[in-house]
Amino acid sequence: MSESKPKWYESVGEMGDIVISSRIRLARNLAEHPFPARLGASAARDILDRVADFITGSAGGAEFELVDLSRADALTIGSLVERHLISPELASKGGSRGAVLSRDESVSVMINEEDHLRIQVLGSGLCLNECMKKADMLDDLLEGHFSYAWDDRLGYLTHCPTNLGTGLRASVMLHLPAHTDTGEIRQLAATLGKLGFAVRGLYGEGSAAVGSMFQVSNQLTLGPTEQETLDRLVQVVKSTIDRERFLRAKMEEENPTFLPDKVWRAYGILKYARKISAGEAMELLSVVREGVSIGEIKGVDMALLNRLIWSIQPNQLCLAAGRALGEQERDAARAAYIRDSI
Amino acid sequence: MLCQNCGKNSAAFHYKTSVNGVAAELHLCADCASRLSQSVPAAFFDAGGGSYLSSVMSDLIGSEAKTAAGRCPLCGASARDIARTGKAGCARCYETFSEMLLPVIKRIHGNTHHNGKFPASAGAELQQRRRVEKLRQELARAVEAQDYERAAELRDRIRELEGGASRQ
Ligand SMILES: [Zn+2]
Ligand SMILES: [Zn+2]
Repeated sequence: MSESKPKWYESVGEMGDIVISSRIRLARNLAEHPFPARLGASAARDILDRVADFITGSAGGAEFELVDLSRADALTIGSLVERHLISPELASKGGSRGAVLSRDESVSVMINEEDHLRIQVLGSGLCLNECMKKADMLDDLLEGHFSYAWDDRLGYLTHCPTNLGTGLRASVMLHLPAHTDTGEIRQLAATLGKLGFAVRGLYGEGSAAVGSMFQVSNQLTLGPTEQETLDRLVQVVKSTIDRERFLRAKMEEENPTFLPDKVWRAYGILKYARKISAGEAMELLSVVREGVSIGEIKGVDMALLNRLIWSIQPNQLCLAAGRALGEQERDAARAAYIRDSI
Repeated sequence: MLCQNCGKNSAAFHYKTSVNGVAAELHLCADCASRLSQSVPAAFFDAGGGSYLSSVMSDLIGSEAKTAAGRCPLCGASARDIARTGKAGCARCYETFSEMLLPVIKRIHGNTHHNGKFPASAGAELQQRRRVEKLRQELARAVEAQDYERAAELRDRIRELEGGASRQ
């Protein structure tokens, strides 16, 4: 991976004070081949090679690079999961599998995950439509060369029936500290759940919420069009943002010293600690982020905070150090890195 | 009671439903109700999201599995294999076990018809149908806007397309 090219997460997008990132994922399969779970080893290898060669050999192919996970080391694989470029499922399963990544890390095509292809596009802030446009173009390109598993009634055919139709999973990662502080997050999850949206923690399905960061994504893929899905998600995200701002203002009104005290304490620990775990750092960075967002903390760049979310993860730190670090070493390296950054 | 979606206006619409025997309630203001709930399928989802879906999957597929016999000619999966994993072995499974899978799909999505993007290689018939659908929508808009010249034009194009289909 080229280090010089700026990464998508080193910027702040629309509504960037509350929306950390947007993500589009399209599930696609090749016709006439069993899905990866029932695919033979040589066919899996063949699909991996053919798809990777096609993308890297296409007109914009110089921007892309294949990471062959059957040959990659554990640190590299772990860091890709931490940066949301591949799923934990793709990382942990065996066999021929990989991901074709763009150099700015905004595009990742996972090959032989649960479906043959998972086209994923990430972007900073609220930018679902822009991400969709990119994913759509890549999808058109692939469709022009490979024949997709398709049914006139059920749409794009997928391993899991929950992805049938558009195969689209659109998600937005939100930073909702006031929802967490007031306990409203549970109600939000219940409400959005009833409207057909899932609310999950930062690292996806089944994971606990870290640093008040939540992913909101659509559940339904059969029936609504892609645009309808995106429009509805944008609507609920915007209502959630309004609510988060309302809750912050209410807290400020009811207890004017609560937030300033909370955010400066967090800043103080991050600025002076000599060792810190990933979990604690995420919680405190979340609080500092809130402080920047409400205008209390000035002089800390939101883009820097976005970058820190990803770069303080365990595998990331090891990669930066050029070797595997023990837990103690990691906590010290993390503290030093954060101290120097903020 | 405040609207559960925006939390600002008072809730005017109260939905009650039962999902797998568990009561679910939704309270929305008029604004949010009209914007959000129209396209939500009859079965509201549990906040658990994924886990709810997969439990519906295995329950339903499990109960249907007894009736479906044979194996998928492309991937070799049996009805029992699909029931066990809750997932299809290949694209052909959806054809082979359609009687077992369609009711499940309907339960999950509240729908069994895809309306979104389709590959250029999809059946000519589908593309035709979509084109006509799109023109019909445009026609409705033209009539609403009292743009009768445009409406007549659209009507002719729809006739042309449908005529072309019946000749094939
Ligand atoms: Zn409302
Ligand atoms: Zn099959």
